[in-house]
Amino acid sequence: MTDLRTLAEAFSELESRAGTVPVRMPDLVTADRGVRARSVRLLVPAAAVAVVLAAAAPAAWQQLHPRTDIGTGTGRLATAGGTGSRPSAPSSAHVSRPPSVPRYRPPASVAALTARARTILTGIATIEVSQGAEPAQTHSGPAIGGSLTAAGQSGGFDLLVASAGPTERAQCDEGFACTVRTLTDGTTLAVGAFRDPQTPGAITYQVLAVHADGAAVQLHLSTERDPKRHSTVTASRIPLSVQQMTSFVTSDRW
Amino acid sequence: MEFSDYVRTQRPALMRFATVLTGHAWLADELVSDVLGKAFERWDRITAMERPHAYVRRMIVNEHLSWHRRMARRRSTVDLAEMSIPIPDGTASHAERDAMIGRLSQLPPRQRAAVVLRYYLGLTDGEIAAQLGCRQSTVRSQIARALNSLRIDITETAGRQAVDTLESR
Repeated sequence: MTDLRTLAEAFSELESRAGTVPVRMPDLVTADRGVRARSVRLLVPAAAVAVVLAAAAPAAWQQLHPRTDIGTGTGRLATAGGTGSRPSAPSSAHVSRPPSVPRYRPPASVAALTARARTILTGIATIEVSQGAEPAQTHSGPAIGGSLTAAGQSGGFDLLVASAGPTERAQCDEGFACTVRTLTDGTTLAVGAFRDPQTPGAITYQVLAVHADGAAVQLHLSTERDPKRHSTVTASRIPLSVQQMTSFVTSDRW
Repeated sequence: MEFSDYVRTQRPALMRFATVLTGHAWLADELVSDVLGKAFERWDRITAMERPHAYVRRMIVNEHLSWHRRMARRRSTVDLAEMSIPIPDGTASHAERDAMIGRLSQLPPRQRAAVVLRYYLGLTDGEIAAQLGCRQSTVRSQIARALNSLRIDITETAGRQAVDTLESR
């Protein structure tokens, strides 16, 4: 048994975590409130697909190994089906390989993905793409990465759009504090956050939407230059709100 | 008080409260932002109240509990509390504290809210009952059950306080 002092210490620790999220004004112009219908569904195990990103820049993306060590085993979400052996790059979108006849056809190229992303972000944010991988390289869909700027804040991002199987559900990357819900249109939405304990002010959000038609859209956005590994903190807060990120991945324009 | 001034001065306190209530800073951020958005729409009425900050805090609790009720209606087979995993700092000396955070995350939302309102905000049974829309007897039973789940012995606390008092003389 313990006593109330331990409870007080727990409250104090939780309070200190509040400071990890930079203060921002509320989004008074809110996104579609329909996406706030929340529920939690049992995560259907999905085989993780290693997404190999060919870096245009000299430095290749690396698996963020410290994240798997977070909490010495706790703080992990079991990526059922196993993460397998992730290659040296990457971002796992937690979707299976596309079926032989995909229900959804992702953008055909990095250029097409970039153009579509910019269209959806018009008036909200701008992106500067420094890395990309074509569908033939990822075996799923195109992926891009670089810097996203909104409201005067610039942070690292990566975006993957792929075709998911009919039984696939959204889930978060390992090590992320995560919620998953199903929207009224059948889209499953995973929203997660990761606080880098080694870098003050470093936080990454992940939002993954698996639409009913099989479109899987995953966005990582960080206060760091690189959302996948320890790097320079470039923003005092995540450039987009969770609502804005959610609106982006659930957009019917994908 | 202007809404922008209220947000600037009180948002940090709301964030701390919401983080203690939900267990996750990023979830608290979303919760507080949602609630402040709603508060903005009725700010004239709120600012005229005797205790506007207490009212906004109550909105946060209600929004959080409402969210859990919506999840329950969808017959979720996974409770968010089961998915709420604390992020320990890896220090052995904080193992007890981190274990407590883990047990807090496992509490049903109303029990957790009752514990937070009592031991974090220091509200009375009557104030908690008004906040949660239940009887004071229900508040007491919720807290008793929560303390049992948290493995907290109130008498142990009282004993230690008595010893501390004696030693300080």
